Amino acid sequence: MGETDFIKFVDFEPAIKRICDAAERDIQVRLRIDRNILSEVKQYANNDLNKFGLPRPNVAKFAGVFSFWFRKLKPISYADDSQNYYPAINELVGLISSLAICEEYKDDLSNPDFCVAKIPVRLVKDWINGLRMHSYSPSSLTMAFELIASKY
Amino acid sequence: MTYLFGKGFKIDDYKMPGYEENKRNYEITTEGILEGVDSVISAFRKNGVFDELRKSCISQS
Repeated sequence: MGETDFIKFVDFEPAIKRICDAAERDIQVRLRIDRNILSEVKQYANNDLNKFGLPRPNVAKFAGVFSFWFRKLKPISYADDSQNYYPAINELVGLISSLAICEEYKDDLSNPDFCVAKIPVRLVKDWINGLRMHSYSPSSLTMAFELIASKY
Repeated sequence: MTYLFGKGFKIDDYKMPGYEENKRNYEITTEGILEGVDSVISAFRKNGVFDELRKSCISQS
């Protein structure tokens, strides 16, 4: 059984900060990031990735476990001076992070034509809402990314 | 632990179909994720995802 170690060294914080900056500007909210929870997200995602027992898991698995733990542990909260409130902010940031991984990295199982811009707005909205309102597991979210970003 | 069934099947003989393994080496980096994030944000701005989400915001009264 292989041990995955390539994500242990990734610092997600700059990416999460950049997504939050975009959300602050485009959705007009004010956000806070809890670094301790973000660190937990990384740790739990890494644990789940290792459970697959693959030395080189494909990017869809990485994306699935990351967005699962992000929406589960919710490292983003609202600043006191935020004038707007968007309920599914953690789900949005988690989904953008995982789509970014699928967009940027391609492996043997990736669909070379996968492009986030081609995903219909309706599907993105449904996905974010579903992540907030319904049950998911690391495995079910991984399968969602397999279906959307892997070749078949 | 081995379980024996009535007809002599051993559960140990069953092999779960495994995940198809990716053979390509790749290393996910902070910089790589940042580039991907920029692409996704740009796509969401162009296709109006952020506009749609802003409409569902609750404003402080």
